[in-house]
Amino acid sequence: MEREVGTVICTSSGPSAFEFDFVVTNTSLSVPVRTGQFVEVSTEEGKLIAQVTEIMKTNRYFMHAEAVREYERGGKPLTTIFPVDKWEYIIAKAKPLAISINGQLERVTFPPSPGEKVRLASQDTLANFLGLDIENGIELGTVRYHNIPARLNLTRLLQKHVAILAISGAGKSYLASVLTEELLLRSPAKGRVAVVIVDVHGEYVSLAEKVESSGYVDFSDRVSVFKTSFFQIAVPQISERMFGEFQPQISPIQIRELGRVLKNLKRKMYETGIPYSLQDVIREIEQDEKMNIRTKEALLGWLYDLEETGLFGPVESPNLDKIVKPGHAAIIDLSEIISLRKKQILVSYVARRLFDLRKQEKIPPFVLILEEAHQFCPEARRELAISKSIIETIAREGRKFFASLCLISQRPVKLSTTVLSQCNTHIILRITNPYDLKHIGESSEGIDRTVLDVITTLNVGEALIVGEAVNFPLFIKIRKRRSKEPKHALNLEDAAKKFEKQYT
Amino acid sequence: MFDLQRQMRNVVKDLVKIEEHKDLFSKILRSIKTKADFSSLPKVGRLDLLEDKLAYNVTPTNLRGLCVAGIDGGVLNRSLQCADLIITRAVAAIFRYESEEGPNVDYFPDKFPEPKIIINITPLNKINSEINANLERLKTELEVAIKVQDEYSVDAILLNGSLIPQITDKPHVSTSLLIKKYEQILDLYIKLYEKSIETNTILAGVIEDSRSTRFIQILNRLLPHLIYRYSELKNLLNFDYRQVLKLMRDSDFLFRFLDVGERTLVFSYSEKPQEHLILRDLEEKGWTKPINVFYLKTVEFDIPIRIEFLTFRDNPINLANRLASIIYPLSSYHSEYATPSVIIEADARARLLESDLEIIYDSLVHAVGFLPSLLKLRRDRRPF
Ligand SMILES: Nc1ncnc2c1ncn2[C@@H]1O[C@H](COP(=O)(O)OP(=O)(O)O)[C@@H](O)[C@H]1O
Ligand SMILES: [Mg+2]
Repeated sequence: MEREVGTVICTSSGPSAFEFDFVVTNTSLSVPVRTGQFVEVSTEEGKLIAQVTEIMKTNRYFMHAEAVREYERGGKPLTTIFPVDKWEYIIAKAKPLAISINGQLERVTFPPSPGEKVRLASQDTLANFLGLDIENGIELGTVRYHNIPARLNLTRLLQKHVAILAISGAGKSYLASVLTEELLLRSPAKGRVAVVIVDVHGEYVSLAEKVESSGYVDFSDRVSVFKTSFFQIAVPQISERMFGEFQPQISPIQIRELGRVLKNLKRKMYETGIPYSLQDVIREIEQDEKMNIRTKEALLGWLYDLEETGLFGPVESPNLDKIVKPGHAAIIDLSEIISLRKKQILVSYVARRLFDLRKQEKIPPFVLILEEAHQFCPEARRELAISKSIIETIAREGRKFFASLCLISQRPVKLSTTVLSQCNTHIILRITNPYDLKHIGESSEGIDRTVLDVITTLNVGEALIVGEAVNFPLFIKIRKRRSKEPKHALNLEDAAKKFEKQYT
Repeated sequence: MFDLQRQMRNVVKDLVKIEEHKDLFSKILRSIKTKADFSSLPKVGRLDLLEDKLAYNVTPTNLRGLCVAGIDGGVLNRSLQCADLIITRAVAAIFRYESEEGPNVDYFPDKFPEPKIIINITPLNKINSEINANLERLKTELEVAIKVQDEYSVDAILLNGSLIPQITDKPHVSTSLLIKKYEQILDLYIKLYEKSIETNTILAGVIEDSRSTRFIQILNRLLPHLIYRYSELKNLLNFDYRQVLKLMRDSDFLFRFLDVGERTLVFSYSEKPQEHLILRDLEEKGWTKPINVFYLKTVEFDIPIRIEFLTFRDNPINLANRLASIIYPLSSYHSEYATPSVIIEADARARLLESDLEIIYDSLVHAVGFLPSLLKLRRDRRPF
């Protein structure tokens, strides 16, 4: 049984089925109980689970401001006159959440009795209440203020997509790395998925580095990094509609004409066995005699423009159906690309290919971790949004095929609401922007005012999980990474020193 | 229509006039406060006075190294249909002054002692029921005061209240139950005195709101002699000072008369102990050592506290001076509140709440089931 923390007391308003107070048991601990902690009490109905909502200290010696002032008038604190410390009581308020009757959770309809002992919730109680999967779950950290692993059930967490939301620097990428580690550490017996990370800033590449120093797990055998300079989009894989997405101004007539050209090329490819490139498409259009000259010019213009990105080639590199493997992570490192459009084209291609491959069951169930998701799937209609439609498609339909998204964003307001609402689990780290907060309050289930207030005060390494993965909003302390963190960027002082050394 | 305004004006007028006279009287007496010396007055008229002047200065002692216990008790009494339910408890708060940081405090028997539950099934009228409850409180208090001396070595014990039973504690009619209890209390007091002598502990009772007129009576007795010796007092003859004296209690007068850090002379508990109802009872039980009294003003805006102390071995004046020099610092922290800190603390620990009584009553009824004797009085269980 867990540590006793207090005894239920009577007040003018309780104990009731909605709230009760308990006087906190004296211990040598400086903080014997905390707001947000889960506690349990026996009642006639069964085991009641409650959450501490408020902690108050009282001390009769400090109840009368005037008297305190008067006694301290001589400049000496009250403690030199009275045994003030011996009068301090801690009273905690708790909100009943559920009754557990033989492991079955029920609504609380009956209050605990005054005098009942209040204990910290045990691991079993809490796992049952929160819906944790202690045996096989994904361990993102520990339940805040409890020494209990926050292991989330894989299906509940991923099948209906996850969003990780927080201001920058709050630890989103760190958490995504922890999530990745967990997925990579799973044994085949527990069921393994593949991970694909769209790494906008090159933050994840260190996962693939070999580590010799002890204290870290070496993931290098399970992680591959793909730099964009070697990345090639296979032109034969691109339909006229996809071209239309890459070049949103393309007209329907132009698309139709392009389709005709692609059909020809495909036929030839089947005959010769040689895949065609973007140059082949361009040449085919130039030589096409049926095509209206205006259409021809426009299409050529679009295609030259795409050709200049250097992303296109006759064959796919790397081969997406080869690199997506259970228990493996493929990191697509976009850090060298500056153009948002190029990044979107790539993401759009990768996402669509993964989804198609998955539908054909050519690749295992996967999670696509997408950093800066608001850039790839923006809410605003006027923004460049080449990759938006495929991401929205996966968000809507992915769960049927076990194609999951893990979207990471520091501006939830700017993220497509369609997508955000399809992410049934939200992991929220520190957020301070009031617009983002409001947005989250509206789009995440089970978040009330008090929870919102806590979000603004979260520290690095602390997160709130709401939605599908848990039965109840859950604050966790994120666990430490097992892999080596990316080498820290220089701080300003060092960068300045380095500059001076170089040039003086 | 009521004319409260008019009534009020009259009341205020009377009050103001009386206050003026009291002020005047006190002012005149203040002028001879340290001067008047009655050592030359006939001894027979002042056998009960242990000193020759009205007031003395007190030097506060440094508490460092001292150990002082404050003792107080709490009691609650509920009359039921055919029984009285009493709960009571007492605490000693033991302040040990070891450092500048403040006292180290221990409690005896406990930080929050378990209340003693007493059910009395002898039918008592309302007054006797109150006496009974009070005797129960005294009993627990005295037991604590005696036992604490076995557990701790304290320099002084301050009881919250008198050092002997009050007249009101003495049962009027011979309800055998109460008489027996009263006798027990007397025995306990004597046991406490003896214990304190044995352990060489200063024993004192501190009375916050004394209604005594003992000091006024002393004045009443001395003034006719003093008026002719001290010209300052001549002005007393300009008004009916005896009338004013009749309207005053000790605390009333001494509040105006004493300055902070002054005590009155030491005098015996009673002018005629042989006639004093309680002292006589004590004497019958064989107790003859004196109990002496003085008043001490410790703060500006509160009335002086009355201190009764057991005199033994030591010269009573030395004892009084030591006691005053301990109580003075303990009682001087708050300019409007003169109760010694040790007693404030003991009081807070001993105090019982109606809700405590309610809980005990409920569990009693729960345990024994419904008994007509335990039915609450009708006035305590009105449906509306
Ligand atoms: N759970 C954690 N424990 C320890 N350090 C963390 C944790 N989460 C984040 N950090 C540190 O905080 C900094 C910012 O984290 P990062 O994941 O890059 O934030 P974000 O992706 O939200 O901008 C990094 O230096 C990282 O090491
Ligand atoms: Mg980041």
